Amino acid sequence: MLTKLLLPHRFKRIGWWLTILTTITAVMLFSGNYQGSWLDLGSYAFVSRAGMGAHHVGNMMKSNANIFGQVVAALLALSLLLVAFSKEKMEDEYIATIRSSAMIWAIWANYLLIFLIFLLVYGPTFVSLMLYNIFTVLILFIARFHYLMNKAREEEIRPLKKLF
Amino acid sequence: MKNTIKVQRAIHDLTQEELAARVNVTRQTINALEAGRYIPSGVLVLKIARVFGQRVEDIFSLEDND
Repeated sequence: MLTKLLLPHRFKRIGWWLTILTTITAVMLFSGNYQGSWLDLGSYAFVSRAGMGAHHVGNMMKSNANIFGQVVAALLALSLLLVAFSKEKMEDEYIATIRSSAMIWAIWANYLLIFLIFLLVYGPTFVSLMLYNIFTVLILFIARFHYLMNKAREEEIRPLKKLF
Repeated sequence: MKNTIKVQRAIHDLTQEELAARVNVTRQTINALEAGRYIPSGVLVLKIARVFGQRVEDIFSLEDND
């Protein structure tokens, strides 16, 4: 795996903090406790269906919707990307192998989820679950990568544990 | 792939940590190599052989199932 494509390690900590903050905000948003009315800005879109609160502005469409949800979703995706694709303190080829294995596992697991959603879920819930699916591949990768890293650490200290 | 890294470390009086620092990897990597849990890249194989002043074939050898 090309480590050139990974961010410096310091971004991992930033990613974790941002993940915690955006997750709390997302929970507040979905539970209806906070709507972020200061973000009633509307958003521009290149592609949008006419109607649905959108109108033409030049060649683009402008909706008058509150963009709080979009901002939170974008920040959550960004924070998960920072956690997933920042280097470890010392990134070497063994860690790159673990990273690559976790990535393949996460894509398999994510597509298994997608197949289950295709087969078992219909209607508006289907659309909602497919939206959550934007984040699940990253969440699955992060979980699997950290599980394998911990396993590698445990295997390292297991012979020492046997001695005591 | 088998290796004699542990024996070579003992001969050269190096800890896993020291060898890891010499070849620019983590201690975990050396540990995984010694335990046979990880097959190293060609570059790492050459670096390890250079640290011990040996030929690659003297440290690393193929097994029947390789």
